[in-house]
Amino acid sequence: MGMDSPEIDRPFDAWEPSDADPRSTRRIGHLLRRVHFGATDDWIETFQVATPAEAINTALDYDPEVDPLNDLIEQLEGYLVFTEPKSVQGWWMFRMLNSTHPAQEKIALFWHNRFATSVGKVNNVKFMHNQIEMFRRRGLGSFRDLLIAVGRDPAMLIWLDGNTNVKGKPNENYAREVMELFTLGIGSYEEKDVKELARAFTGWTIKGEQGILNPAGFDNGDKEIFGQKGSFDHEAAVDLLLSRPQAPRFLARHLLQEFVHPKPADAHVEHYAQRLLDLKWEIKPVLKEMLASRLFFSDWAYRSRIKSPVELCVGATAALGGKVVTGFLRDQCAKMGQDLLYPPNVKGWDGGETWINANTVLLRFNFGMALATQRNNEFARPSDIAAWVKRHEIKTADDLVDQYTKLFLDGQVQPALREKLTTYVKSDGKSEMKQFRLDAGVINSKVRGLIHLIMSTPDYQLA
Amino acid sequence: MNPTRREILRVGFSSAAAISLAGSMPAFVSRFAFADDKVVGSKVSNDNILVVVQLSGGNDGLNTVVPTSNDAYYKARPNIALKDRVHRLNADLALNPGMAGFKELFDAGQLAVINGCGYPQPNRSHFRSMEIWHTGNPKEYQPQGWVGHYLDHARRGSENALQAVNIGSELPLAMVGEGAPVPSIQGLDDFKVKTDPATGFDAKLEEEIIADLNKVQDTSPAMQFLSRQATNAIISTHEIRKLQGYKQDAEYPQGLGAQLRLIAQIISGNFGTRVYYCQTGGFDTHANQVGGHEGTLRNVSDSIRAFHKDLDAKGVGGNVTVMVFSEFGRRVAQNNSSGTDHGAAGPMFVSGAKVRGGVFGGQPSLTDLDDGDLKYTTDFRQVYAGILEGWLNVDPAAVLGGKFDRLPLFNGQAVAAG
Repeated sequence: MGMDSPEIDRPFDAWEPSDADPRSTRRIGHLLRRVHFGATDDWIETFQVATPAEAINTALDYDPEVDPLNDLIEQLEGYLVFTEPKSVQGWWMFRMLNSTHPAQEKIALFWHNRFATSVGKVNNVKFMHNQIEMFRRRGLGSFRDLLIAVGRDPAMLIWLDGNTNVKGKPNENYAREVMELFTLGIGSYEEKDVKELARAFTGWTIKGEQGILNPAGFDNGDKEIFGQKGSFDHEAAVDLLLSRPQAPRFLARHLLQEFVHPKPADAHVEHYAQRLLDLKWEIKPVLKEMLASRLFFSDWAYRSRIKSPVELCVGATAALGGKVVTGFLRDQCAKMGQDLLYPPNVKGWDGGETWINANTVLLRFNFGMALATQRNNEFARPSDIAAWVKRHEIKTADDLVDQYTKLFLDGQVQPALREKLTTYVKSDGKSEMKQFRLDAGVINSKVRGLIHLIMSTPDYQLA
Repeated sequence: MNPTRREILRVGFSSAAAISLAGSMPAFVSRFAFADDKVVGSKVSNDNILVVVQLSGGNDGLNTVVPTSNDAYYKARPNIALKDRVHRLNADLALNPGMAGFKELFDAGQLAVINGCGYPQPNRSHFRSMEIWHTGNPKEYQPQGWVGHYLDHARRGSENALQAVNIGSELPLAMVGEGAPVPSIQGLDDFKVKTDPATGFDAKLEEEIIADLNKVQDTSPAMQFLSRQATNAIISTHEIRKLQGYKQDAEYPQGLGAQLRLIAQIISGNFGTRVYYCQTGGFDTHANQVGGHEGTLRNVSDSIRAFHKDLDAKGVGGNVTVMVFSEFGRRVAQNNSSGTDHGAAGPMFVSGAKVRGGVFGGQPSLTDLDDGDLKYTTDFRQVYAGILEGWLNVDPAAVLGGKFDRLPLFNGQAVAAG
């Protein structure tokens, strides 16, 4: 989607607000959708008084070792016992909804899709939980460290059969996918490299909850990988992979696709590939530059991505106050094609246009309906909506449409769409109300209906 | 005479060498120059329905259609070769022990087993190989698939939003064409625009506004894509909601069975749907494969058997053909985890009341290998071509962008290519 070669002036410079191009709800919403799961009242307020750089730092400078949910720990009861995949899914959804730094979960979700591992084969809930924790902890660190950790991660050792890859009995599964899907891309290696790389990865096995090297299982003989000879072990093999010219481009492209635009231009890829090399594969500084860029804040990038089901469900729920049972969200996401911990295969979810088909479009609209009309759940009690209406000093039908389109659509609404929404709010089901009054009845019907309708627009499916 | 040669002669076609690409015509460009639908080569009904079943992960062909008379098979697979409980097809070949359902279809003359299906210079990546099977183009990536091209041809002028239906949450590349997007359906309960049950007085207005908000608009490519999808979905729901309960006349297993049951239900609605697509996974058997693979194949085989039985009982069995494929087979030799790694050629299956049952395609040699993999004997596009011509009633060369020596998979389809 989008134009193939955007004409953006100084695309890699940091965007600076000016009188002609001021900071706006549009830009704040854009940043919050890409680095978090979407706008909430509180985050809009926080970012409104920050420079772009400050906002990005606020989002990304979290300490991954500090659990942001410490204060909520009593509410986590039931989420911390990992007996079945559902409990880990719920634990993670709860974090996405309630974290004081949602970027940590967004980054972990990115890696969950890049190193897509399914509990369906791993069949060990604790290992899956530990893998997600690893993504949360290492997600913005060094890509080299992350790649080494992934290769020794127990869930990954089971998922791609690394634990059966031993000296004299190589299993090529991980070696092939680490090149095709994790570092280089198809066509960047020969079949021989697959076989030889598999030997370098031999010997890793699982003890307790750790991946450890069994020296007897490691093939320390000479290998020839990419034309280089040596007795390469796991770490040396990772360095060989990262020394390939395709490696920084591969990661840069994926970062751009996730955070900026589904179809980055080659020049964009080249620039951030070079920055990854310059910054020694440290992800955070490169991502910060990317998010601060004029490219990121361009019209080309705005609403160019289709929200994933998790982005959609978590984003909408958080915007409305966030208190909903995570099992409901998990099931909705699964139906829409993104069952956390169950990526369809090692390539992960293809995303983009593949999220959308007749079935999933309807599911998205119907999710909006279900979410907006939960009358007995915590967030959607009439009193909560009434408090929100009061807080935003909403009096007229126009105020109502303004505030909700600001929260959900950055206030970027085509006039025709706006008019339809206003007409809906004003009508009593048959004709226009004589006089619009925000009483309990209207809150309980029209306000919920309005949220449902906004979530049923094509605009709302875009991030 | 080796069994390979014998099988080829029995069905009377020459092997892969006979493929000819149609001159310099780039794939698919001639789409707009199609002749009108007409009977090509055999008498077929316009009501014919094709159901494509994708086995995702790379099905191990040698443990699916087992070459029981071949010593090389047992030598290459000391821990995982199958011998007992297999279902015999002929003196040389037998089906996996889990495939009693397919054996039943085979004995009834309603199952074509096509050996050694593949394509030149096989790719061992799941994703690239799957793309090749979806597009029919091993040379380069194509954004549209072979079923999509068929639909673009067949539905010219048709407003039917349900001309094809995908079962599942993600539309396969095979079904992508230039026309209206093919709907994906997971279940009937969710396939509708829902409104707030507590405010029924607004339901009609809300439905109208949602349809309105999603009217096709081209403010950006993303908006155009989304609004097309949504509009098409809303139109499809108006059809699908006519479906009432469904009385099944066969016992469907879970998994693939549930999908095929849904297909049977949609067929019963007579929406004019020509192609259905569904997929089932679990075939990436790198380790300890024997038990799991048998179970997965049992599900496939029992599900498809139930599907035909159900349709037969309703008197529409003769309208439906099922085609089964996987993106590749697996290495001839087992690996050291009692599994098999990614390989190349593998069998396909085509089943149905009008199918010419039997074994097609030469069994690839187990000793003359391509880097440890079977050399294909049948180009998979020969199977597509046989179905396009003999069942879907179109010129295969126009859809596939080249001429392939089509297999005569259907009763009444001339044995020699016409």
